[in-house]
Amino acid sequence: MSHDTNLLAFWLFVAFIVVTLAITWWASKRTKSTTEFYTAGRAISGVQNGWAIAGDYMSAASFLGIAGIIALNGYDGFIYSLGFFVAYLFVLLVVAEPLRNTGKYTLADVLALRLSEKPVRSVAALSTLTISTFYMIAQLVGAGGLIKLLLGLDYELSIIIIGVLMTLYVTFGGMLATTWVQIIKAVLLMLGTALLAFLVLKEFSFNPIAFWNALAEKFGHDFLAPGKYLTNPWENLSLNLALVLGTAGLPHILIRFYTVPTAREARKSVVVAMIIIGLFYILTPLLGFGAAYFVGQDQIQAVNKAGNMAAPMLAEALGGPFFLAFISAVAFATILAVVAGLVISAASAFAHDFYTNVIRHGRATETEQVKVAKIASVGVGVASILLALLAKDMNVAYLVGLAFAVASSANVPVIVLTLFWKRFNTAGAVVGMLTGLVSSVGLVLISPNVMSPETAIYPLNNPALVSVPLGFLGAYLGTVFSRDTRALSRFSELYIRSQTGIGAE
Amino acid sequence: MSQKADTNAERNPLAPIKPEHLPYSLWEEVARDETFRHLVAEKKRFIVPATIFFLVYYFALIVLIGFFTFLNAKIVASITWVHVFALSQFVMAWTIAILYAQKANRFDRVADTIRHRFLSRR
Repeated sequence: MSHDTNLLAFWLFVAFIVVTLAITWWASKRTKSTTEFYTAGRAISGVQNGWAIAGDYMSAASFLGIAGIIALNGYDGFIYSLGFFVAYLFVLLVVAEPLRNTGKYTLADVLALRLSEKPVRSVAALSTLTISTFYMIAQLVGAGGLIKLLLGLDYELSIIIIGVLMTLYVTFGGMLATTWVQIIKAVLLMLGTALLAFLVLKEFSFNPIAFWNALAEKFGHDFLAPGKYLTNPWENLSLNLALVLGTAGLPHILIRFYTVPTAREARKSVVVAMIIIGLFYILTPLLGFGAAYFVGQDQIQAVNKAGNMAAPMLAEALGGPFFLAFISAVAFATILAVVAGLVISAASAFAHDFYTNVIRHGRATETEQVKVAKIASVGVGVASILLALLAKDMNVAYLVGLAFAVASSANVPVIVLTLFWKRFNTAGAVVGMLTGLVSSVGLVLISPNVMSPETAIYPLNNPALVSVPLGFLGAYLGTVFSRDTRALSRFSELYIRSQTGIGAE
Repeated sequence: MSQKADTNAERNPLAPIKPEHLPYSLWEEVARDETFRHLVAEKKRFIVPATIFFLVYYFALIVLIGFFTFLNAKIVASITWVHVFALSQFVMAWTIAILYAQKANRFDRVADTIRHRFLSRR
């Protein structure tokens, strides 16, 4: 990257930081109560929340990672796009509205309506913190490397800048600031992606078939066929199971539904998010294949082995230095919006579930709760920075897949069974969550991610194919081997509330 | 729970009560209510088949490209069935989402009726 581009990118970064800090300052004046801190006072509209969900969800892994996999390996990279997108149907049809109707700030609120409060809150907080930590380390370590490539800043400095910004947004601006950072990022990301796709198609007179034929001619038909990256079909199944179910168990996505006033708005926000996210993912092949065609695979790999620089390099090839600077700034905004969402979800699990309701038995005052939520946000921010600094030279790419696997194995079975299975009870929830959590993490420890491919005991990189059934099995066995009259008698109440919104906050 | 400020309760006239303070018998009454049972049945009739359909349609692609090769057959120029099937996932997902959003508007009206009746009877 040339010096001028660096300078331009630098000023775009500064502009983004100034705007988002101004929003944080504005939001801080409107963030006094717990409801304001955790849910922006439930005053976000469905359309705004749809954009914010898109901003919360489309990570640097999506934008830079998928473009890179497609550029280097062809078709298989697009499978990630499909899985990340189709997953929202499960969110829309099964979880969004019932969760909105019955929850207050976190996932555990829903479980605590019919199950014993302390055990389920503790386990749910543990699962949320695990998912958020894995996801956060993956995002931050990736971000450190990217900013080094994009801006020439040191890894450590990049991590500290991002870590401090995300902590400031959440601690002072709460959910309101987080939401607007996510909305702005989503708009920037969509603009950047649409422009890149436009420039690629323009080279082929806007005829996608001509582009396709040109790719086949240059790289051969195999490049456009599946099986080059996800070579093991079982791996492919396991990965997609984690993506399609796991999205409905990601705490930082689920807490977004509490920011809208009603289940109707929650539904609208998923539909809006599906339009935005779908448009983004449907354009990813143009970015990835475009980079392979106009930049060249060797050049992309020379800069970053995993291909993460494919999209920025394509921007430079087709749009010149200004466009490269813009895309770099978009990548920076993308990272910040996602990690801010992770900070607030981890802080709410610790402060609301664990501190307020387990340690203080729900007797903490409003002032105390807000204070603890802010302290927890700072704690999460500092811990994340330290972990990311320690993980500098580790390969952490698999941690995103692991976060989805834990979400699909530990959270999704328990969410679905709490909402829809009358007999389900506290022991089932605790055993189910712990089985899903331990098996998904355990399987990764004995997988080729951690052990050498020759000696790995579990042959797949993604554990979901085994750990999701285990999560359901644990929930089932825990239920049938225990009695819990409260869970049984309160099912009608939870079910009616989830379906009608009676008593929704 | 009583000392937690509830800013929304003031804004939303349909949620003036703490449901946990309502008697058990009231919930049982709603559970037996004809309108409620009808609403739940209607919802199930859409949501269950739609969820099964989308899971089958999506995982069909994953299984067919993983274990078989016949989808690699060309249709026209360099476009093969794997490309068409993959792109059709977007059409499938958007269609189900829009159909559900339309259906759900009707569910909302029924749920509103139940909520009003329930809260006025209490």
